[in-house]
Amino acid sequence: MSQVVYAKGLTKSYGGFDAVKDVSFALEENRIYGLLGRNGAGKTTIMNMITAQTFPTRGELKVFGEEPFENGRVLSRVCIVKESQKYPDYFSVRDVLETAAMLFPNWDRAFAASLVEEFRLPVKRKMKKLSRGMLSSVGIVVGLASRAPLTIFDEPYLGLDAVARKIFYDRLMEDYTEHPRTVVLSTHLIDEASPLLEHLLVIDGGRILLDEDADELRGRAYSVAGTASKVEAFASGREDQVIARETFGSLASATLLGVMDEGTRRQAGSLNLELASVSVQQLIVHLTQENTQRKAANDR
Amino acid sequence: MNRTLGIFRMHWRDKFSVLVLPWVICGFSFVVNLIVGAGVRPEEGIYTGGLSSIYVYVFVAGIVILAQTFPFALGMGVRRTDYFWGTLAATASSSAITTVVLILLSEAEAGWLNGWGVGLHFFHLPFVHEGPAWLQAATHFTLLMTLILIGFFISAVYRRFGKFGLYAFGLVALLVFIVGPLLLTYFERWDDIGRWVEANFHTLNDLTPWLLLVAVLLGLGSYGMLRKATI
Repeated sequence: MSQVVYAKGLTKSYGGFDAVKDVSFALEENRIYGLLGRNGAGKTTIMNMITAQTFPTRGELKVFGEEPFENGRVLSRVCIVKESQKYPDYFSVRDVLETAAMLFPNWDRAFAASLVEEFRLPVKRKMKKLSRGMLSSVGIVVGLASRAPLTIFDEPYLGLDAVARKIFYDRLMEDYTEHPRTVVLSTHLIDEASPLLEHLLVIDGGRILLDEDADELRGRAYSVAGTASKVEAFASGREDQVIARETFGSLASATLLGVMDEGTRRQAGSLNLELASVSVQQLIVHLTQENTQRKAANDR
Repeated sequence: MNRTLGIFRMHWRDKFSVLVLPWVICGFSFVVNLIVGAGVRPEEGIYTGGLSSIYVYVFVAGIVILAQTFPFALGMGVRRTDYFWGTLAATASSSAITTVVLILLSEAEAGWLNGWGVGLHFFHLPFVHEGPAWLQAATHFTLLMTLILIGFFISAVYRRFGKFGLYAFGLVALLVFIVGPLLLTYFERWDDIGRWVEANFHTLNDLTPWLLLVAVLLGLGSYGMLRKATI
């Protein structure tokens, strides 16, 4: 499988502050990646560097095997949809879509038209008169209809309602199946998007915290629930694996890192505890919090 | 499709701002002057600078175009080089159209219409419109492009160096325009300047080569800054 993006020791500094620190990763062809992390973690900076909208301070970055800066072969194959994308005030929705049609070689007019219909976009309205949700929809239409071999969605659905988000996920999956490409989706709505994501990159404080296959990650933790005393009995001897505990009166639950193997199942069963898988979102929240705490401890 | 051409066509999507709005502004000024001319009818005719609205308009357009379309174009994966040449081609084509209209109006006013019947000199002015039509066209085209590129350059300073870069640029420009004249006064060289201007600049056409030089320098400067500009 060929590499679409290759980054090694990638760093971006603003003054004395490192927004992205010594980051290395690779994105392979025709997969859907989730780029996850808290606000200010460095996600947008990484995506802006991939599309040569900003420049790395240090490190190596190859997109389709080449340097992206001022490289027509690379840039014509990349489409980035940013929450912060600016549009000319005097452009209507149609102006934006017609311009995108001229600039992206794989643009599909019919697909764009059907998306406009589904998102109920007023094509004649000026961009600056659109609501936040409509503005996001325009970006999504551009991102999907461009069919760029590398399509990057950076927080694409600010202000979008649940129905519109569902349309986005559904159309993305359908079109991805018919026209495979590499997709990077950066989002806060991890659980909502996680069924789509094949591989996860979690970034925190400008560093890569996790670079793992989504299915493997899903199997990395589990939770048990039942009466408090039994949960305690189960947890004792596994103290180093417990990452979260909650009690509600006489009941309790605990989240543990580790694989739900046969022995675990048997023990949980004998204690009358309910076993459940942990959502990707919970796991990531835990990982980023742990990272913050560790950092605080180091600083002390 | 070629992306430079894509940028060219992107600019031409907004035909109203390019083809209509400047003439609405200029036309308003013209009508006011025409009414005044019809009312007053001075023997020596009326000479007015209302035409300058077109030139002010393109200067402002130069600032606005870059500010509005550069972040958008980069977001659409366009190379900075393609953006620059596509934009330059779009401004050159619109300036060419404006020039043709200006020269036609100038010829009409001076020739067939004879001051619109009221002795109004609006589109055909002494010093500004002299010599054969092709020379006038070359002069006015160059002037329009220079003004657009001044606006473009200012906007490029902002894109490349941000707010403080623009302040610094403004400060330097201000100092040049304050200190320069002061030095000329101090060294008593104004007479030399006057003689040089008198000897070399009889019509606006004589200024064209200098404008061309300025335009090329502004273009190169803008290109250099945009190459390094980020979003």
